[in-house]
Amino acid sequence: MNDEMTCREFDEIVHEFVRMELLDVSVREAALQHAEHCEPCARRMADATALAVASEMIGQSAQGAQTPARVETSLLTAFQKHHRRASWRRTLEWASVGAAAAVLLVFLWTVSGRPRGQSPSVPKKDVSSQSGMPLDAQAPATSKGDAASQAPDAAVADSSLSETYVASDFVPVPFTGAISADDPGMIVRVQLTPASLAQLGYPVAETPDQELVLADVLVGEDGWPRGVKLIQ
Amino acid sequence: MAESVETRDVELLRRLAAGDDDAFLEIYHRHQAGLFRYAVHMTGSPESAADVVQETFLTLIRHTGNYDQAKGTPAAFLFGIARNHLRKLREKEGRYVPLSEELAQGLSAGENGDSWRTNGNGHSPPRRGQAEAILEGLERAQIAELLRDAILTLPDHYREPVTMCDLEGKSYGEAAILLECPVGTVRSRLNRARSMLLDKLRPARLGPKANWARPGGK
Repeated sequence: MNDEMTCREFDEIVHEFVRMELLDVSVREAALQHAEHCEPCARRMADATALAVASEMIGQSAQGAQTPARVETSLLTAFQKHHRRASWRRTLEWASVGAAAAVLLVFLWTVSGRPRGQSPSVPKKDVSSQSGMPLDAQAPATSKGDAASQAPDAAVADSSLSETYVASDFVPVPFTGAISADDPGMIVRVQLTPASLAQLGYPVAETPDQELVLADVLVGEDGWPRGVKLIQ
Repeated sequence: MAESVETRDVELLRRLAAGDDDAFLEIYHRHQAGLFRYAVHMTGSPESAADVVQETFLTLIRHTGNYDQAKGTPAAFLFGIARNHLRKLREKEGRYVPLSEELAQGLSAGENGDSWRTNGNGHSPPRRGQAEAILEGLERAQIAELLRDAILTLPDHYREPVTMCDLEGKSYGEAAILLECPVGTVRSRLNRARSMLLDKLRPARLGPKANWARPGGK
């Protein structure tokens, strides 16, 4: 290759040659010899050298360049926010899993603990303050008419299901609207003074004075009490 | 040494994924400068480069789990993200790189038939005005400025090896890792890119003759 290097071959190695990236001594010598006798290639070598020097200059001028400090600040904030959010997400996921497991356990316990052939008990429902009839907290959710006819039976079922529901049935709270069968109301157990019972429309003469009375209050979806039932 | 750097980076990524602030800051400080310089050379704009670095690390924060040690080093992972953001930035802005006036004139002259044509021996036939080396007569700073602009006109796959090897001083092997391509590809693209740069700079020859660019003259 020594004496026979062509201009094309020289062109292929000239940039590596001037940057000292070409380590093969025989090729370097051949390139030098070629440049000595070929004026265009000598110019090409000079240009390649100039290019290498200019590249180095640009590289050196940018050597100390750093990303502006504001970027670091905003990135750190974003990082902390992201991981706070991720942490909350993980907590919520675990809480959801825990809640689902609890619901499943309650369901399984309910299903396995109920006597065979008995329908699932659904507390409350079908309460009407307009009827003036005692309300049944344990009656299954059905239409209003059905509830009225099933109330005595359901009251019997109540006593077998829960020993605490013995003192009375629900007494409707006066001047409140009817609670429908599909209202997901709830029963809240509270301690009330006789005066409070009177306000809720309960016949206070039946309760001992000066004592707090344990009672279940049937609360509609709108948060208003619909019925009261003494526990003891 | 490189292995211990990589091991440290992998460890930092693991801690970063667990929400460790210090790990994030450390990996940021280890890589931000290199990424910023790379982005500056690729975009020609420090502002855009800062945006690219920010987007790169934001992506890292959100998708740390995407890093696969079997596919490459954390540094290559970060450069890969940065390259994607650079590509998106160009697509979004549809940007044309502003050229210096002299270079723009020179390039338009080249388009009018003054380009470097090769003969069968690999060289252009002698023509008027080509008796001197093409970059002679330019001050170093002038050449650097013109070169900076010329680099920005290169297609990405040529600009990247020039940025990494010629401007950042990385070896072919290091560039190959970061660009996720074989060393031979880096080498051939780099050689071609350097020739393209000379061709782009050639019409920009100005002023009196200066011999600073002679071999051994640096």
